[in-house]
Amino acid sequence: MQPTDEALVAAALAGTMDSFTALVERYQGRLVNYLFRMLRNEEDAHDLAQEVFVKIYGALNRFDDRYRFSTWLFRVAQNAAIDRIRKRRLKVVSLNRPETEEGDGGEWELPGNDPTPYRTLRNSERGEAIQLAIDDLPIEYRELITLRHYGELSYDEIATLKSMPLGTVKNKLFRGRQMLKERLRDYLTD
Amino acid sequence: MKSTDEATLLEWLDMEADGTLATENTAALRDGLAARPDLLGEQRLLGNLHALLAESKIDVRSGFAAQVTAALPASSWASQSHQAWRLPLAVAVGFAALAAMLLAGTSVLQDGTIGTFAAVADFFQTATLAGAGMLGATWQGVTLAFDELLVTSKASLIALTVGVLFLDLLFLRMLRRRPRSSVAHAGDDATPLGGGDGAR
Repeated sequence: MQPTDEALVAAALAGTMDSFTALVERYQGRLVNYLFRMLRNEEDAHDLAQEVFVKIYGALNRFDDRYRFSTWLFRVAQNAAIDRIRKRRLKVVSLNRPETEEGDGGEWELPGNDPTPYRTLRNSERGEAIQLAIDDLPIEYRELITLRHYGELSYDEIATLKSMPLGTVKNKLFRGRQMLKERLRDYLTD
Repeated sequence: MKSTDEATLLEWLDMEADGTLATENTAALRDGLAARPDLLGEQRLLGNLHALLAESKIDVRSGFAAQVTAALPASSWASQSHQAWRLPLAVAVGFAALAAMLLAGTSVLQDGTIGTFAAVADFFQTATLAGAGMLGATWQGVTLAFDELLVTSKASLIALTVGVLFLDLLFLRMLRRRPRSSVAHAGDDATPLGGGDGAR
């Protein structure tokens, strides 16, 4: 049986380095994909994921095991991504997306040019369609869809992370997927 | 059998595709789909949507975990916590050694072969006794001074009471205000679940 995240944290705190490596291996795919959807750049996503893991390691002795490691990790990642996007915004050409009521819409702007391996995915019509469909979602749906489908967080974890009632999370994910389904209908029919 | 409305069926279809449909609703969904074959298309679309989202994931570059491990700081909380243990441990060992010497000083250390150690032990013993005597005398003097002050003046008694209460309150406040470095909810970047929705 796989050790729990909390057991791995405890072992890492006791000096077993392999336990922290196990945590990295457990979350690397989810974290990199979540950050990739936030930053739209594969290289940046990897770099920031590494920074997040280092930051988490540095604060591991402050981890409160009454909470889940995953929600802590993704909260740190979310904050780090928002910081990165804010810094990048000065250098980035906006696609002129109108800001939402939450005022965070601008933080999800697509970079104007992107000389990274993301080009391989973007060149694919389907990959581009998925990204655009997600980008077109209102911010509150987009965040939850990204956390669920790329961060692979459970509904409970998302509710904790976003400080939302579980019912609201379920409802927003349902609505978000309905919107995605309509926007991607051409790619979903056999 | 009670029929399930379309909105509920759509919600269940979505949850089924997401792998979160409760087991107790599985049979009801199957019955609902049998009664509404037009929803089978919806079920297929949702399944394809989940597959499409899963396909769009990127691969983590090889050796990423090793790179992260290599990038971890050498001097982290781990080394700090070890350093934090060292001083109290050294002091405790020192005191234990001193106590052992003082206890043994009058018997074992009388032996001529370790006469120097016996002399040092005697010196510490004498110094400790002298110190204790001075401390006792000082405390007695302070007590006498307070006694005299409090007996002669009611104002001094009130002032002392107020002062003691103030110090108690101050102490309680200090106890409540835990140091930032040891608080798990201080609100910095790496704080578990600190503050709002994460959009700072």
